[in-house]
Amino acid sequence: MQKRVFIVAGYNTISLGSGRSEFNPKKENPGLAHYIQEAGRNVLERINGAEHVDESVIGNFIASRFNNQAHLAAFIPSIDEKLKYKPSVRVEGACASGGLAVMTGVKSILAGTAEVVLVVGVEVQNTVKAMYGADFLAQADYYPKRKDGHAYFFPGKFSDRAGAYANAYGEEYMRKGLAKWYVNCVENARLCETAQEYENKSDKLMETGLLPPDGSRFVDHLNYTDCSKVSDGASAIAIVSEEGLKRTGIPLNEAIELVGFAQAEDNIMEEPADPLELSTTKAAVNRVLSMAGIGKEQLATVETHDCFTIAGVLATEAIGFAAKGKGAAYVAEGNTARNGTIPFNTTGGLIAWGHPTGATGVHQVVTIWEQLTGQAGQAQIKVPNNKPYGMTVNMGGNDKTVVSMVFKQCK
Amino acid sequence: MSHLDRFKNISVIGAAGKMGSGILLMNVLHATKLMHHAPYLGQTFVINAIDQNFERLLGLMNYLKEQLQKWAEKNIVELRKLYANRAHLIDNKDIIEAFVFEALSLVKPSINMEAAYHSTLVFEAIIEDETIKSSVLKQINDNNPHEPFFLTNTSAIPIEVLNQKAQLDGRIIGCHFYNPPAVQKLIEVVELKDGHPELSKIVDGFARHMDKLIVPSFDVAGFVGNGFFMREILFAEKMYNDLRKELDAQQALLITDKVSHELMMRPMGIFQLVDYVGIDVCVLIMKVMNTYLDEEIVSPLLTSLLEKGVRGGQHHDGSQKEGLFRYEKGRPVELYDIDADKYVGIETPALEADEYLSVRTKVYSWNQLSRSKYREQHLKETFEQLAGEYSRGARLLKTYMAAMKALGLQLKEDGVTASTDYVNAVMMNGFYHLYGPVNDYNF
Repeated sequence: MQKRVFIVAGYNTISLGSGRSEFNPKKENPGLAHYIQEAGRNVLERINGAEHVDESVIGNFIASRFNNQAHLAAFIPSIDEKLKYKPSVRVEGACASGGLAVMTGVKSILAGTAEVVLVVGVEVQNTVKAMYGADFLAQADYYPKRKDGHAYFFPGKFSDRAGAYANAYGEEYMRKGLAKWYVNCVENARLCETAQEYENKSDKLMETGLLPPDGSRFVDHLNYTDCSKVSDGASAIAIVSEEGLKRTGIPLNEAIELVGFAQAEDNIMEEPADPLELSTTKAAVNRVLSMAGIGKEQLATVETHDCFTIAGVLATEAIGFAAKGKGAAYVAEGNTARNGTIPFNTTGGLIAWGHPTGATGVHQVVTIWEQLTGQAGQAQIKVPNNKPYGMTVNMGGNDKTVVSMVFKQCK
Repeated sequence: MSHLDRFKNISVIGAAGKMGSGILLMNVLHATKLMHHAPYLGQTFVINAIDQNFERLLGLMNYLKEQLQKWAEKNIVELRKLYANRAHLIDNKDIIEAFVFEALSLVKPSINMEAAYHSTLVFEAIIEDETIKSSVLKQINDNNPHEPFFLTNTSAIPIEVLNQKAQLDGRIIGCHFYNPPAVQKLIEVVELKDGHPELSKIVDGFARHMDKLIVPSFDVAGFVGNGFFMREILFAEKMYNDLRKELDAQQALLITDKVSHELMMRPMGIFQLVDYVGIDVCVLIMKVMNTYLDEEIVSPLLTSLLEKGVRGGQHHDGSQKEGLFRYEKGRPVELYDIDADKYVGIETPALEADEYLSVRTKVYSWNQLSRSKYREQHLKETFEQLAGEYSRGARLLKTYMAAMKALGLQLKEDGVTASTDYVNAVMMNGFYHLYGPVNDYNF
């Protein structure tokens, strides 16, 4: 990269939804403004004031449907008066909106139009029941396909992938991998106070994860526990140049450095060529590792887009940790657990931390920032000296838009 | 005419009532299933919802809309398949709205009994009064050229009595739904000895379509459900009176309720159940049973409460009215003091009742057990421990359990049922008991 880019001052609101004791679907819950302001103000406090911000980016998928609200860029000045009249832009790429927001901020730094960029990701989805939310979320795919899709459209899409995986490699083999992914996620979420499954006390996680799916009630090859949460929440960070770092007064050891970023796009009108492969994810990851100039073995942790457990398993293959068809075993053997070879999704991922869609890409970056700067609290993993890197993989739709980034510890 | 053809024009009499509205809802769901499949595609279905006045019917239509919406949301996976050939219905929301609209369009609300004169099937769910019921059935039968079949929801009146009085020539069957009919799986079916053979086939088909469980009963007043329930009330009243010899009214009432609830591991106690059903309804059913049976089925306790205006039952929104208890959010918070004629806080009497019962065994709650896959084992172990315990609670439980078993056996002896398995099935499915009264637990 022609310029050094740093990430500082990450903040996550709680991921609100089923599982959190504060959540009551029958009562009015906090709205978009609440989350945007909470996340934004906490970042501003950490960078010592809004006056340091040159530009802002807000990532959001579909507030126009869930909240009847568009034009989210204009919410940024509500965070702090000093942001009034400064540039702000909203970006959308389905569930990759957050990753795209971070990347947009990065490009402003690289372009030299800003030294400090505030990035907020937000989504509030519990405004409607799940079957109506499924309609909104289905817009992350090609809409003419909606009619033939499942009532729960995206669970249906990834159930098809799981069905293909089970067909190719065995149902029981796959189920063990999916169940272990679920168990890892909940166990990690129990260590993170903002996670939606933080209060999960079940002592039968594996038993639950191994239950056979019931297609008459839901989808054919996935259980509810294989699905990400329906979540309300926001995450925010600041992206700064070296100049921005000085301006905000944040010490280098509280920052992480972006050493690679990549975005890959596939044709939304086409079905995946091979349901057994996340080919767009693979393309983005190959490119980001190449840009960072590292091998996957140098990663201390990965935050991947496990919108469904099968997506987590397939990601281990797309990144190259497991060969094609071996991801389920790789996960089942514990390699992706927090004490495994490569800890994935250390605060619960989308399955258990939650999935406020437009915020997820930002949340992933915040988690990597927490882990590499030693600020992950109870969820902190050991970052070996010879593995000072962390990677994010943020996916929109059925592997159509993928943003991947690699970050390095700063010492 | 095939069995299913008869569902093309039906009437529900008393459609806005607690039971009638549920029966109507089931029929609407049943018809919507039929009309999406050959040979009924594109055919006209009519469901007359008949009740006393427009206010009740307006409330009924609101209830129906809400319930149909909930049903459609819950069954969206199935509905999407049903509407797969409607190209313009794309989102779940489109399909749910279309379904609710189409289902409501089937229902023709009316305050005129004449609406039923064209029906081939008539569900009756009006007041438990033999004269009123038979008069309504006769009026429809006399004016309907289609020789309609009648399905009566009576929970106590012998079917043969209605058949004779309304001159129905055997075209009637007892079809006793449990409250709320759309949720409860049980239908207690009472066939006439010489009834029309097609009727039981219609009920069987309807039950199968709607995923209901049929339990047969012989045509004896009260049938199995109320035959058991009303006699249990009388037993509980006896226990209450015995306890009153040493305790005050509040304590006696609460202790009896606790034994039948907590120690029996049931969803609610006997007096709370009386409130749920309605004190007035219970008294009415006893009166009906008393008319037809050589047995005195009278509750001085409930009769005196009714005289004082304490009625129980439910509001239209399903919330509980004041009865032997006063409720907040479905839970009893106060207890009716019969002597003082006022409600008093439940906390102190509850503590005193627990102290009186002095049960040491850890007893599971109904909620815990109903979700447990080790239910049978837990029940067995808990009852064994209670049987070996020396406490007032264990003693009262033993008496209560023995009385319930005797009641179940008596129903078979009296020719109300062919098997005590049916008694157990009714109590487990209609009353949500975790085990039947005729059991082998160690008491």
